[in-house]
Amino acid sequence: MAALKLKKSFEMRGLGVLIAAIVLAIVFSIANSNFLSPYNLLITVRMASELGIIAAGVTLLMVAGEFDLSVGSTYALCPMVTAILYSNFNVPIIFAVMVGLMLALVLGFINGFITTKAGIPSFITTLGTMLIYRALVLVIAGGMPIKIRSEALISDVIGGTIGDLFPVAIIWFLFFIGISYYILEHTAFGNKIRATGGNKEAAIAAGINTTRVKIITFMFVSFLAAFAGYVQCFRLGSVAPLNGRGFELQAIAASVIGGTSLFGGVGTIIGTALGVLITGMIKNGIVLLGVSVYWQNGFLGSILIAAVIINVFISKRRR
Amino acid sequence: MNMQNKVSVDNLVYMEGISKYFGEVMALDDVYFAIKPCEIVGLVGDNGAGKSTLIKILSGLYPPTKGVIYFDGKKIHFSSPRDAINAGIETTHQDLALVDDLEIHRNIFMGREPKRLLAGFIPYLNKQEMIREAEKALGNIGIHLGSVEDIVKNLSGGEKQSVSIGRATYFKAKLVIMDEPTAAMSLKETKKILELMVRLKETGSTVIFISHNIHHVFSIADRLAILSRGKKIADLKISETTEEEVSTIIMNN
Ligand SMILES: Nc1ncnc2c1ncn2[C@@H]1O[C@H](COP(=O)(O)OP(=O)(O)O)[C@@H](O)[C@H]1O
Ligand SMILES: [Mg+2]
Repeated sequence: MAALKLKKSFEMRGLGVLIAAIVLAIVFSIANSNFLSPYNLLITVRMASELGIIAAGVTLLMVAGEFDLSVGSTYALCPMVTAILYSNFNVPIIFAVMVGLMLALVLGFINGFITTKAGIPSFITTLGTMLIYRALVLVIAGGMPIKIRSEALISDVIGGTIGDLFPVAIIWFLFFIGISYYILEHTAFGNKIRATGGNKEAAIAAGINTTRVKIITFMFVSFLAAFAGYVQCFRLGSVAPLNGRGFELQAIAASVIGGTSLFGGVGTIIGTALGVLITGMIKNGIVLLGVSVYWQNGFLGSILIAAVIINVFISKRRR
Repeated sequence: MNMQNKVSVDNLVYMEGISKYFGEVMALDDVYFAIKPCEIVGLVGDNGAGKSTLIKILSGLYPPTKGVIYFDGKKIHFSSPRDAINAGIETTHQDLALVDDLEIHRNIFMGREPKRLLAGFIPYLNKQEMIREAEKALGNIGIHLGSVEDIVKNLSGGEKQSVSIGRATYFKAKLVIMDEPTAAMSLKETKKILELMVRLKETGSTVIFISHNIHHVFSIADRLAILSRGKKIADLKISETTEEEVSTIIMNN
């Protein structure tokens, strides 16, 4: 029985990510003994957490068979709207945040509605809205960063630290990973997501409203993207109009490193969490090793390819 | 009571003047198809005759281009498979049955996942029930697969069809439609499914059985309809015809 369980976990599609994470941790800790220190691990997770919140949603959406390239723009747009309402119109911060999160749901609805009703690939829909939402950020901000310093509780709750050290961002990361895991593995909706992305026709024939499943998931992703944006802007005290550029592809990379299929129906939140931690390790390890930060995405790209090769290799061996 | 109402009341299903076009392609042409409660009706005909299209209309996947459907005495309009399922129609489709990457029990309950509440308010997928009931659904039809927690991808064609049939028969539907359910099955598996259809009939369900194997249809059906190029060309009581006659009708069209 135990042997069977072990065999199963070895056959797991996401095995590549576990190997990659461990190898990376070993390499970095050999190169710099500080890497595994508690403080540095905290930094590593913190660096991964904003992307991680987004990637959790992106994984759900990819399992449902769709992509969202607009998450990086949503990440900037919603906090920017909040910052402007708060700074220029004196709207209380809590309302300004609620408006921003509501806007996120609308942005996600637009992505999902266009994709499902027009029947076009979400890659195209969200490439379009990525550009549109980004343009909106630049227009409303006039291209300038906007301050959002607030003494209000909400600012600490979303983007502060516990004590002097522990960033709340990590708690939000764990929270949204947990929520996404719960949705995908332990709810009826999660089963509908997997069915929709795995075989849309079969899902429809089984009575699943795949349009509804997709639109709701698009809205969930947008909400997470906006929330991650708030985590960052409350940490830094300002919103820059180019925030989040590149996050859309990094989130997909983290998901795919974690074993999520590009073709829908397959993916786990645990895998994505590991994938995200890998991106955090790269960001942090590069600094520790004194390597130029310009290499960051290069490392991520190499690991993406390596992890996918391992996964393909494993799934071939299984046949 | 006029003629039409009588027909729609006497029959569990009455499809009246059904036509279906896919663009220029005519898949069905003015088909009348009636099914009495608790009978097994065979639906036969060559490839491309329109059999699958006809039952896809009945199971809510396609709207008919023309025609009216009565089910259980009422005129119905299915706008999705969900409506048909809710009305009591279960279908195993020939081509779009299962999700390969989903476990067997998740396939059987997809769209109708059993839930329970955690701490009284958090909805939670009831996996124990899903697994237990999936085993029961397969046990009912005499099929035992290694574990219902395996994904469907690694099953044989016949095993996949069994899962699909387990799914369609678990929910005690009024009407069970099987579109070539035994096409990928071994003789032994096929025999079980034929017996299953007889048992369904005995327990009060009505069955539409689409097959290429006229012999199989004759062994269990009460009646059989023959489609050819979108038209219904014959509708015969099994007791009043022979396999030879039916083969000849299909060949000559
Ligand atoms: N979705 C579709 N789009 C276009 N043509 C279709 C579609 N489904 C079926 N057809 C056509 O309708 C006709 C009947 O097909 P079908 O109902 O599958 O036949 P059967 O199940 O009897 O083999 C065929 O000519 C087929 O090519
Ligand atoms: Mg067919």
